[in-house]
Amino acid sequence: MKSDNSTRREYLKASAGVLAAGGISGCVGILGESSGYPSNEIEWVIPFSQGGGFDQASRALAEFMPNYLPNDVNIRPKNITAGAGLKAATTIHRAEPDGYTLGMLAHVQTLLHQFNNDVPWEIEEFSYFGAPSSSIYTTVTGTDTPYETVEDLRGADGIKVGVLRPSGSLAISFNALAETLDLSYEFVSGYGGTDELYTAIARGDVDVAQGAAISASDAIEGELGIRPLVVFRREVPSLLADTGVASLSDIDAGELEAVGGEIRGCCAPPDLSDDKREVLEEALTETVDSDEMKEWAENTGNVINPYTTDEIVERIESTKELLPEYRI
Amino acid sequence: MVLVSTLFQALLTVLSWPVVGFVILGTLFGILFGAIPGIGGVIALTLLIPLTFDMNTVSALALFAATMGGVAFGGSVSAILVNTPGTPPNAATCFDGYPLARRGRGSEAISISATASALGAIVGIAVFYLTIPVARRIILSFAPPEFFWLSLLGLATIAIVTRGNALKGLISAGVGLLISFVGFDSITGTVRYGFGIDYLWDGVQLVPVFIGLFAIAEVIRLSTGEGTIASRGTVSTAGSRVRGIRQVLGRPRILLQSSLVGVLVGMVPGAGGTVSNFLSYVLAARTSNDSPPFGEGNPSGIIASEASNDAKDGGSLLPTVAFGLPGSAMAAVLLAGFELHGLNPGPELLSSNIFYVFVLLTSLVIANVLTSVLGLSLSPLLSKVTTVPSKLIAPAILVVSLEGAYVLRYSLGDVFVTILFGFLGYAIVALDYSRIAIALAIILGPLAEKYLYISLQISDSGLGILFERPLSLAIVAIAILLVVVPTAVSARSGLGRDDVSDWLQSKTGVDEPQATGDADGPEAEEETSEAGERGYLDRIVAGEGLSFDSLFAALVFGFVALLLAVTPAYPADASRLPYLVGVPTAVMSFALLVRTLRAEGSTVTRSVLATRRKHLLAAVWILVLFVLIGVAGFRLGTLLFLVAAYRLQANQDWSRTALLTGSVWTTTFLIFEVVLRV
Repeated sequence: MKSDNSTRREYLKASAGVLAAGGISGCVGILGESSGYPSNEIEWVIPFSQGGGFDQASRALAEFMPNYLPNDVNIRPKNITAGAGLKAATTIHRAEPDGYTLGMLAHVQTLLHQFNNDVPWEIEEFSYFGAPSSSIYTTVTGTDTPYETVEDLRGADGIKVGVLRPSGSLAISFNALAETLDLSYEFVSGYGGTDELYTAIARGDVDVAQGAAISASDAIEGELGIRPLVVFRREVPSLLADTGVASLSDIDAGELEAVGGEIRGCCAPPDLSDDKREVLEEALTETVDSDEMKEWAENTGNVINPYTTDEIVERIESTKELLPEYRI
Repeated sequence: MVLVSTLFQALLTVLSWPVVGFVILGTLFGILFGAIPGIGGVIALTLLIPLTFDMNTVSALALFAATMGGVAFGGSVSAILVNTPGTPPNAATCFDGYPLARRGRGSEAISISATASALGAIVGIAVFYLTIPVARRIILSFAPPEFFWLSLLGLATIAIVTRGNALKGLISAGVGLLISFVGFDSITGTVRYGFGIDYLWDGVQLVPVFIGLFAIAEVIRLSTGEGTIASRGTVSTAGSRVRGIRQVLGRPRILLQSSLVGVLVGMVPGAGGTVSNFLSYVLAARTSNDSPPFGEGNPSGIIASEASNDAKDGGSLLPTVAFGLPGSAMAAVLLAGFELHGLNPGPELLSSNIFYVFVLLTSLVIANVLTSVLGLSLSPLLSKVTTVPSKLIAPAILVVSLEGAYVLRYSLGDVFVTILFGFLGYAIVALDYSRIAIALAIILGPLAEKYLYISLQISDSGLGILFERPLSLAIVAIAILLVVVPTAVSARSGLGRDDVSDWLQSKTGVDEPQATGDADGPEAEEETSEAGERGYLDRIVAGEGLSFDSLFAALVFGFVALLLAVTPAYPADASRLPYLVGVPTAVMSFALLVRTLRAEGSTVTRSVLATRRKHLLAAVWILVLFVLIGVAGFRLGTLLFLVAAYRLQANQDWSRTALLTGSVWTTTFLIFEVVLRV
């Protein structure tokens, strides 16, 4: 006949064994999941419409990044364009943090949504894992206008400035420039894209326009007669070299770089596990450094200027500090 | 001379191997994508572009251009055979293509489309080639005021369409415009009429609307289970191809006129291919005296739509190539293809790289000739679709259409909207409203609002800017000529209802009489059931007490009133046009509601009652499919539905049910998952 102590010890041993087995299997499960991640198709949310910079960068990543993930899975891009990134951000935020819903966010525009709308998230909550590039904003004018340099805009009365949306990131960046240089202007908004903006300049509907540097460099070489005035970087990037464009340093406005373009931040929903984030960071870094990605950039005229997760977070903070001053 | 020699060199290159192989491949790809409702050229090009990473530029351009050429024709095939436009610009082809197919002349209709498409494309490309030297001047001539008036010109065609049933047509247009305002307004950053539903942030998508209005409404009609699409159950194929070609060649004025409309409107960025097709169709209807009437299978209607549709591709390439300003949605995606292969729109492309432009153009021409040959060859075979019993083809059309709507964004919301607009389309046709008006208004509403907004901002004279420019005044004059002059002429000559609206309204896909409240005569009195003997469902189906007309009018008024009620919450710039449109629409719909309520009590014949029951049952089946998709996923849901539909609704035995289900499901799977990979 077993004693009570013996029975109790057996019970305790059995319990400990069960708990240990459960703990081990749980750890194995987690590890197993991480080493098995990803095992299914990944959905990639693109916040803007097909053909634009975000779409091109996202589809390039969707094409090349699977080569650098631990397992052979597809990345399926999906454009969710409503609200200029608002719906895309909300969609990513609401998804399960299982690593199978990823996306790209425009940091300035996302911050504007956070400030201007009643959104259920904050931009810092997302699980970032890097960015392949950022857009660079440029103020351009027509070659048949009296504005040959950015300084010529001072003193001009009621400059008509073409932007896509009156409270979007392009408008914010110009507003920041205008307040820095004390410019008198009014927005003309509603255009569908930068190509429409440059045509508007060529027609004389607007005096200047705010657009991305890549499309500006194409337009400068084109027949529309476009002249760049200022690029929102401390130094003139190579794609606008020898165009006579001024940098932010040239006009003592270096701090405006924080609102001078969108970082194409790759992210997952909040609370993504560190293991999965590491997998994605590594895959993104290798993708961006790959020959195929560089070849793609060269062929398409895109610029690869990657950001690490820490750099994204830092930029978000600096933009968040600056935005309230220039919000419209 | 340099241009000519470069053109010749491009032609020889395109005809050489392997480039010509890519032209053939692109053509077939485009036809397939165009024929499946909801897919279309944008998705086709989006899928192709990354596949061409490693291809040389010439082959890639040939593939893109051939795909564009194939899409336009492919869309006309489904428009003709099953009254479902493959792409929105093919919608006008339904009006005469489908009635011709129903007469057993589907092969001839496809041949007409194939021939008109090819010749229209050639005209479009020829005009493109001739206007290269003046491209800049043409494109820069159009400013926001002109775009605004072009949008209104498109809306003016609604007035032509609906004048025979003016009140309902105008209400349709008003409702369409209000629907177009749903979603995120980029001007003010406001979500209009979203009611807290995330799906509506994006607004109402055009593809689900078109598939619903045309395809789903047609499925409801076909689900009565009787007969075939071809009303006599047979098709006439002997000599159909030659007849089709002769029909086109015998109407050179319509062909040339429609092609020119297509290419000129196509050149205007943002005007839209659908607008050019409807404009071309209406213009042909206005200026043609041949028979049968438009909307009853007049070959001129098919020629007008298809010639314009293909000519517009040439026109839309001009701003795309010259400025990187896409003339159409397909051209916008094509730009991405250009960039991938290192081609930048602008003077360099039109001078030192003009060879590539000519590769694009010659590929487009050859693709259109190929589609013409293919179309003519296959038209007798394709027309056999119209002899398949309706009860067997309806489930297939339903599944393919809903999948086309689904793969747009993998959204069940899009499927739901498709079904909703399907029911709406059925009601619209049955109650003599206007599908065209709604469709055009949904397309043109945002354009009109956008360009009005921009015009007012760039103006120093307020609304005066809309009347200052000669080109604006010319467009206004054209609109007036299209609308007012024929009215004055017919009024002076003592003619009654406008013929155009007669034909266009007579393109109903509903067999039953328009008996929403009217007795059919003495025989009908004998057949009429006693209300007391029928159950609740019968009363609804019979429309007693509240006729379908009144019920629908009440729904319309309620919808408009609801939107107006929430409009004050929006900023001034976001509420301007909704008020401008909503208030008159509310007044008109209220007046219509009063009129229908005052109408005499109705009696309904047994045959009408029976038909309505079948249509109601069809609607229930469609909802069952939606539930199955929602619960079991798209693949399993459609499989279960097909089994149930063929076994229970089409009354097929188990072996035939298995065969039909397997065939439809497997074909759909192969097309979407394997071939199209969407």
